Amino acid sequence: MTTLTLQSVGVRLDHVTKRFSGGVIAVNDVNFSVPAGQLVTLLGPSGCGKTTTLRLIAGLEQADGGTLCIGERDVTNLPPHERGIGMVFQSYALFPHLSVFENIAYGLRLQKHTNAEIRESVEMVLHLMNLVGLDQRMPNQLSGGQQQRVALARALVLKPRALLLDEPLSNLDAKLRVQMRTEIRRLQRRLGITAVYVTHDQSEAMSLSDLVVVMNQGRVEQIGAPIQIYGTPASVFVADFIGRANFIETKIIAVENNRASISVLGRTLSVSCSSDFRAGDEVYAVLRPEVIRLSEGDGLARGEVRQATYLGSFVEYEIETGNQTLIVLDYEPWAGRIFAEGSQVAIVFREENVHLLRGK
Amino acid sequence: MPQLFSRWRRVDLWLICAVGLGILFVLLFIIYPLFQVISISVYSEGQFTLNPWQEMLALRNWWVPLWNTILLATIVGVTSTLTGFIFAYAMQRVALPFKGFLRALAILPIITPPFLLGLAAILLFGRNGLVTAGLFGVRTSAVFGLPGLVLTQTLSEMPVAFLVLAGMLGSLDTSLEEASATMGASPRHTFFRVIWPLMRPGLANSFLLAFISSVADFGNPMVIGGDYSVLSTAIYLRITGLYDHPGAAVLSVVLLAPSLIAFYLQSQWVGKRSYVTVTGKSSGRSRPWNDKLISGGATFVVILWAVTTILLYGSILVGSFANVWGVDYTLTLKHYLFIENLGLEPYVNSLILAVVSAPLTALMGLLMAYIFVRRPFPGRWLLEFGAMLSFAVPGTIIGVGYILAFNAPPLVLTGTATIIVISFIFRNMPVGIRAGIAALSQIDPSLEEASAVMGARLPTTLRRVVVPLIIPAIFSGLVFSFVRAITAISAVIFLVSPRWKLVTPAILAEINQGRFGVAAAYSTIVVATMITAILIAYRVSRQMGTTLELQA
Repeated sequence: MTTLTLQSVGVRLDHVTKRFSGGVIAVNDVNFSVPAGQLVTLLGPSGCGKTTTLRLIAGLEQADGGTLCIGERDVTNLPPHERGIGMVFQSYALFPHLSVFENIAYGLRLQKHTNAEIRESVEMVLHLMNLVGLDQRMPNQLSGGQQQRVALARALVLKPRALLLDEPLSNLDAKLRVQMRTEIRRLQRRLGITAVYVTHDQSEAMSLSDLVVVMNQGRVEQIGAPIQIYGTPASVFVADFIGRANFIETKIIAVENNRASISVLGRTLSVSCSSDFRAGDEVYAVLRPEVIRLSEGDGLARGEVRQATYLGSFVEYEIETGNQTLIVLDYEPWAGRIFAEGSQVAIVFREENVHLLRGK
Repeated sequence: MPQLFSRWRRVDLWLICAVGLGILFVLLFIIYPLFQVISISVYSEGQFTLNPWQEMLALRNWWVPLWNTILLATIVGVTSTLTGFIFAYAMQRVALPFKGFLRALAILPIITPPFLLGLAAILLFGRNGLVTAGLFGVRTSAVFGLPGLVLTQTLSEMPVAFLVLAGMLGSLDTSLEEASATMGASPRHTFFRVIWPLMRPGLANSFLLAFISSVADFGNPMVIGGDYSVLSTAIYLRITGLYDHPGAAVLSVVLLAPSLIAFYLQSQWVGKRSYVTVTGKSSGRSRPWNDKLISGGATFVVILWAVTTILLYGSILVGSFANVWGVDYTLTLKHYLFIENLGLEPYVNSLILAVVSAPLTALMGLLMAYIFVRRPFPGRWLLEFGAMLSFAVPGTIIGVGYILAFNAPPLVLTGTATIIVISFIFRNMPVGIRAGIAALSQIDPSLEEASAVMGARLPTTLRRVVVPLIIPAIFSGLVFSFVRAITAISAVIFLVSPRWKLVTPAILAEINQGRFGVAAAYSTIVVATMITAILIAYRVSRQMGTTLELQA
């Protein structure tokens, strides 16, 4: 059995813009590049332009401005069938009038292969995607997971230079979704395929990506590895959209050696910051809920438990302290105790876990 | 059977009456006339006989009208489906200017008597035709017969095909086309390998609908058929020319066969084979990359169609003011004055009877729909069968059946307005039923339950929840029963009397006497009326916050 060998290339977007009739700017001056062989997710809320961006890469929409390169080739003005990409659609878009075999062979037949070659290639991807024996089924005789595999097989068999996936898992149930996402990641790594993956599900983006492109209102908010996106979000939007966060409004007292002195919950803290912060700047101190610990002893501040919700693997607290309400997630409820609503607690966190963002 | 009993206990008197009335009407006004037609063809003076059949088979060329009918219907089925598909594709996938205008133009043949196209074809392509004689100096009768019939029926059936196929194309998941493109297929390949095969059930459906319609068409064969004899006109001539009722009945039974077969195929076979996948995404957008040949070809066909349609309807308008068509195009009002002298009675009658029958049709349709949707009961198939028959059976046969059934006691109705109204109601009932079913199946029973849970009694629930939700659909049923009543010809031509003349037979009579100017003037009045009525209906439906559902 031959295996699939792909010639993956990078994808680059330079100042790409797309306007829809009615004046809506769906994609606004977007720049990013996808290194060859890596998986990049486009993440954002619905209507942020991520799907339009993907469709621009595919050529299903035509850009109004900017350039789009797949590999070294400028494809901005090429129709989709000349771009050499593969795409997996949210609805899978399997042709209902064609069998699994013919669905997969569809693109191969266009490339004028011999029947023997086509059979060989189709069987190879059927094998790759665990679909052996299903080739004569019609799409409506397959389960959701199988349809998903056929959609992937159909895209991969053409040895695309880049693979585009438009929320491919959103029609699967929760368990299958996790399973398929692991499978997609393993396959993508093994084949070394360049992939652009659209999702609104942050855990999907976190678990899959080499790089995450966070989009909002047609613009790129931040590009980075999952750990950067989560740990050092570039904007309030990103901090708020990815995971959960407590935002504490404050002012920078002084800046020295890329460390800012700020006053948080009545204490003065020294936290690291980028070089463009100045004394007097209005900032948010961002605290992820799981970096805060509650204790009965001493802490940076004290607060009152307003609400405690037990969720099995963790406990979610709402802590009132001064004029601020903090969300705290305790992932080790078995290690300590669960604090009752109404009880007084100490709030503990480390300075290096505070991330500064520019205020409004 | 406790389930059945508990269900029956809830059935009120009103429903029993409704069902009883429904069955009675269907038996009396659909089944009984048909039975009369069939029986008179095999039953004479108290005994079974095959004489009428033998007489027909003894005729030389007895099979010509049947063959002609099927040939014409097949050609028209193909041509109207193709043009309808091209039109639907152009409207949804190609960037065209004036889409609103084109859509409105496409509706014209639905809201005007179809045989007006026959009249217009004579004005343009007949012996004194503007194109044939005027432009090319050819005096020819070539348009009479198959060519004219294909032209006029294609144009009048195309809107139905368009509506069927546009609906289907619109609900096709566009990502199928996009997937094809991303796998390296050119737009042309995608068109022929994805769109076309997926549309096949819709194409078959539209072919059969056009086929049924063409088989049943009476007006155009009368106007422009020439020597090309089809069954519907043969039946008519047998009755009005020869007073040969058994002979007409035989031909009617012959005509029944292709209609019922096509209808059976349409409802049983095609209706259940559909690939349409409904997605929330709208697809009425032209593609960024389209095949130049396909979009150019589609645009060309649409332009050709639009020009032809405008020319045809335009020739009627101009013809109504021209002194002598083909000879002297001086503008004159004499045709209108002629109609005024003759009396506007047929026009007024048509309006009155259409206005009377429309609400009755809508009510009857709603009643049937309610029974079909909400109250399954033993014997429902009979109602469904009857309702189906009223759609499938050509109007000519219904007309023959009515004069056979209601010319003698116990029910003597011929010559009255009642029988015309009844024929309108039962001919157009499918429109009302469809509107009613659409309306009622939109209402989730939980809405009524929610209303009940919140303390509303049934009358309140009906008044506050059900009626407001179904009014728009009922209204569109109302509008189109009105339209169909005004434009009807095939059944009512047998039912009009000196006391109750209608406008469509009157126009037909003027055409047959060669008074094209008068016919054109009459037609112009009717077209203007229908356009006005539809515009008002659109206005009203817009104010109700809905859009008028087009029904063909």
